[in-house]
Amino acid sequence: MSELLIMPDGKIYAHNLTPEMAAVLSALNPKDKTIKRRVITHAGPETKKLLPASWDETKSNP
Amino acid sequence: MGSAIQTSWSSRFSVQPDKLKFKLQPRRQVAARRSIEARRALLNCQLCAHHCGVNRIAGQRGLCHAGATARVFSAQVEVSDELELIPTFAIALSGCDLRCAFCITGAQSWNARAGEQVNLEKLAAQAVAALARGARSIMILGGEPTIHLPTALEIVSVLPEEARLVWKTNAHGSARARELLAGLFDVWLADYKFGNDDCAQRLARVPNYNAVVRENLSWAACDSELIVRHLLMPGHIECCWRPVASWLASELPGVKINLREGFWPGWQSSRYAELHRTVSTAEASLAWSIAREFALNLVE
Repeated sequence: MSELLIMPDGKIYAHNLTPEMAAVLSALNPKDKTIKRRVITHAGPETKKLLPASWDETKSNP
Repeated sequence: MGSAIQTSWSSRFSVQPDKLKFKLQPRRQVAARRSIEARRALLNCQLCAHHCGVNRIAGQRGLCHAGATARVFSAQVEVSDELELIPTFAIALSGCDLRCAFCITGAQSWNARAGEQVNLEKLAAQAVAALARGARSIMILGGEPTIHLPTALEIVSVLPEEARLVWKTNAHGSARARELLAGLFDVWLADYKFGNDDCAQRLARVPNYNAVVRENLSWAACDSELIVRHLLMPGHIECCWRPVASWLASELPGVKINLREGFWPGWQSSRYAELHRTVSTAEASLAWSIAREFALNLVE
């Protein structure tokens, strides 16, 4: 289980982040490099299915 | 096992004087043997630096309120830790010897009865499955795992010998705890939260914090790989982060440091005026400039 805190300004804080939740958060904001690094490197095939079709693992910015 | 073997040979290697040969004792065997010692230590518990001396086997409770058996409140693959460790299969034991007002798992960390009974076979199977799916490490954490050393060592005794093990700790353990842990973990992932004892006493109800943490960090840097974490707290950049940064630069130069900005005002933060909010952009900027000032070896 992951826990999220969404602030009024739109910032999202997360802890106990699972690969699945990381993929969801990254899909919501693909430009966030911090979260993206945790998805690209480590997501398994099932998790990667959750990512947008435009996702490019080889680039930091799709 | 990397550097853990190099620097802690006395605990896992036996010397055969006639042949002058070193023989590696399997980690699982060492952990199993030490878990028995650790269980015995609960008769007069000195596992953390509070040194309560209570008999946990007889049902007495010290400051952590933990009994003789540990409970697990989470066991899952996670990716929120350091990049070099993730994905990690994280096993979180309930209960802690500190009382950090801002603890993100306060309900479980302040309550050693939270969660489920530890099932060694189940945890081992989960860990093996996680490694097979690509997990890079297995992390034992809490709460604070030091207060549950007997169970933590039992867990190690059923984990794959070759797995990269991470000990995630508040660095408030005792010398006795360090003896029992020596050489078993590949990485110590240790918090250094407060840069002065007044803040530690006020926010985590812990005396003599800095001396204890510094002793543990200095020891861990020799025993294994060490990554030090500092969670930036709003209003505590100069009083906490700067002295932490200064000490690490001076005493553990080059040590890996993860400076974390993700403070959120949860659990009992509302009791403290400065903890009502997250870290501001200006505070984060100042914190990074302090890190640069001390030329710290920052990791993400």
